[in-house]
Amino acid sequence: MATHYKKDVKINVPAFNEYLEAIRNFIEHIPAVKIMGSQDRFNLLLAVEEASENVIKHAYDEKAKGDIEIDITTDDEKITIIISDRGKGYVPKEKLDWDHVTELKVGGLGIYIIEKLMDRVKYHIDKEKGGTRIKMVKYFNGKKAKEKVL
Amino acid sequence: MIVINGNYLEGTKIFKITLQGYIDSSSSQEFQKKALEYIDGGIKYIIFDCRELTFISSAGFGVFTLINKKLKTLNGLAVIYNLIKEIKNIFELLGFKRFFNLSDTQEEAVGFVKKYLEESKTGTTNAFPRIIECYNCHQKLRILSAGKYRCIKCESILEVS
Repeated sequence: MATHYKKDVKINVPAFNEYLEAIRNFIEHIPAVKIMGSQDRFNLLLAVEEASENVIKHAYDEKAKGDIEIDITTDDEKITIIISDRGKGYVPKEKLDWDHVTELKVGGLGIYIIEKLMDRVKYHIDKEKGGTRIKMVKYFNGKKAKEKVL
Repeated sequence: MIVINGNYLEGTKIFKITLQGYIDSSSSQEFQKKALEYIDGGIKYIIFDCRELTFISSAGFGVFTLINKKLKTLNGLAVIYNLIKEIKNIFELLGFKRFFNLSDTQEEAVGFVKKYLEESKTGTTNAFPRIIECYNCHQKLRILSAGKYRCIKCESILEVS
C-alpha cells in the first residue's frame, strides 16, 4: 500500500435509506478501497451498509432524526471505519448460533454479517451523550484478528 | 434502485424474474411488493435471474426469505441463479447457501424446478426414508421421517420437512 493513500476522511450523511447508495459510492471511490480485490471491496461495502442500515433502523427508528457519521482511516496495512450516530444507543441483538440456525431470520442479521466480513469489530454505546459507535477494521493482506467486544 | 421484470418461460409454469440494480433498505420494499404481487397473482415457481444484480444487503436476503416462506406454503419454490461472483461468494461465506436454492445457469435453475415438479407429481418429494446431506459437513444421513435431527458428525441441527 503506497503511503500517499494514508488519509483520514470524515463524512456525515442524513440517516435516510435513500442515502445508502451514496455512502457505498463514496466508500468505493476511496483510493485504498479502489485498489482492494473485488471480493474484499464488496465485503467492506456490505459491512458498511449493514452498520448504516442499523443506524437508520435502530438508532433513529427510521425517522431520519440525525446523521450517520462515518470516519475512515487508512494506513499501510488496514482500513478502519467507524460508524457512529447520536440516536438512542441501540444494543445489538443477542448473537445467534448461526451454524445451527435452520431458517434465516432477519433480526440480528446485520451484526452477524459485519462480524463475519470484517477482521475486527468493536461496539461502544455512549451512555452519556447517546449513540452507538461501531469500529470495523479490514486488513489489506487478509490478516485475521478478530476482536469483538460489546 | 432495482428494476424488476417478469415473464413466463414459454410453454412452462416457470416464471422468470430478472433483477437489475441493487437490493438494499431503499429498494427492498419495492422488490418485496412486486414479488408478492406476482405470487398473489398465482405464480408458484420462480427463477430469479441475478446477472445484473450488483449488490444485496440483509434487507434483500430478508425479502428472498419471505418469498421462500410464501412459496413453501403454496408448495412452490424459487431458484436464484446467475449471481455475480462476489454475491455468490457472500452466500457461501455467510453460510446462506443452505437457506436458498442456488443455480449457476438458467438451464440448471429450470432443471431444478422441473425435477421438483416431477417429484411432486410422483409423490417422491417428501418420500421417506430419504438420504440428505448435512449443510455444514456434507455427511450423508438417512432420515426416516420429518423432524429435527442432529448431524452425527458435526452435530449441526437439520430440519427436514
